[in-house]
Amino acid sequence: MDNGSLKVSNLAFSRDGRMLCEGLDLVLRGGEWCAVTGANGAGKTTLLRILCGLSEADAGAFHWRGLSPALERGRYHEQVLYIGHKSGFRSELSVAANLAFYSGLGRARAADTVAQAISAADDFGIAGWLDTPCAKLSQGQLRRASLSRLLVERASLWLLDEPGVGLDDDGIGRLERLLAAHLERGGAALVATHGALAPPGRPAAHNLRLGEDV
Amino acid sequence: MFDAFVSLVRRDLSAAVNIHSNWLMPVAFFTVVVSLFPLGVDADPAVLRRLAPGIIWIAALLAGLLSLERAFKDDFENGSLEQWLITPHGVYPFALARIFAHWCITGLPFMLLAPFYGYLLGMPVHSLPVVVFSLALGTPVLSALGAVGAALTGCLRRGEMLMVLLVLPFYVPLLVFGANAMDLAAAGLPAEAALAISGAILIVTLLLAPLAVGASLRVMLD
Repeated sequence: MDNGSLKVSNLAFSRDGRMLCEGLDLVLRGGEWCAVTGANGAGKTTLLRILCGLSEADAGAFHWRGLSPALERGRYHEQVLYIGHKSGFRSELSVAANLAFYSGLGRARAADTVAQAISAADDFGIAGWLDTPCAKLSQGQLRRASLSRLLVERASLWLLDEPGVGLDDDGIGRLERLLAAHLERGGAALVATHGALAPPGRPAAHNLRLGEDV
Repeated sequence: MFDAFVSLVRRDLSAAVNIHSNWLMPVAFFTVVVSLFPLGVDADPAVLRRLAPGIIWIAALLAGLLSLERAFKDDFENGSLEQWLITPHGVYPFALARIFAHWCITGLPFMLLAPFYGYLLGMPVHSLPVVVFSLALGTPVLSALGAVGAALTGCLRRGEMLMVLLVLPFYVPLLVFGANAMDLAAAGLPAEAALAISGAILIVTLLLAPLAVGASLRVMLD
């Protein structure tokens, strides 16, 4: 088995009894990313939730670096980071407290202390409101805060569900540079997106369009 | 795994401290329920002394349920729940941490206040240590069983009533033996047997409830 890649074979999934995709095959190597596009309801989120282990596929299998969530749940989740529509941040706590919580979950960058991990998150331009309760943040600020988990936690496979929603041009730029740096390190990413995302020097290796070739 | 537990307990408790109603409400509710009985039943000291164990237990049970209803709702809405399910540690430490944090803001203060209220209701002083001990064994079970109910109904729009109906029957054995221990102690009889059964219920519940919470959340979020 190729140890550096995401292998999806013959995956089929449905939502509320409606078949969304059948016979999906995909190979994504380290350093590559795949854009997942498709109309609303085409199954982008469902696919990402299956790959991160939240939902079950109807058929088929997938591995990342030889690990699958069905067999080695803990070790798979050390490698994989999913950021969905919901921030996962508690509204009454500050951004820093929320990030500290996630940095304590076992995916944290090994050598760093919590404080170092949080200061790394400054790269997303959130330094000014680290101590603000999340309830007081705007949609875009909250999105930046939740995306800065990408800096605090170290995972080799990123599953991002429409990460650009609510971000301004500066935020999109930072996200693209972050994605490029992640790919440079040998990571991979699956990104569901409506808008174009162009990490510098790293065009999408695959473009998966859901809801057409079914 | 222990880190994940500590990290969530700290997060829960700091959230509870930030919002006063989170930790004040259960305690206030507990106090109000206890103080309504003398008004509604009878102010005769002999009657109250007889009823005191039951009053304290029922008050603790209802006040615990009051705050359980939202135990998983906020974290469901803000997306934390789905992140718990996909951490390297699995969901077990989180379920246990949520139960522990809930106990810290409900069971623990009830346990500390109960001997005081028991005394006011006329329970003899020598029985008050048993009151504390019986609640110390029993209130974690309230939190643990309640968490299972909350996990099963937490993501439903109107799950509160359903949760109460689902959970209350499971509280019955605990109520029987917990109040019985206090009764025996108040009568000057040995309460060890009833306490031992409460302890056994506690051990089994604490081992199994986090598994049940994890499984319910997984089904709910699929």
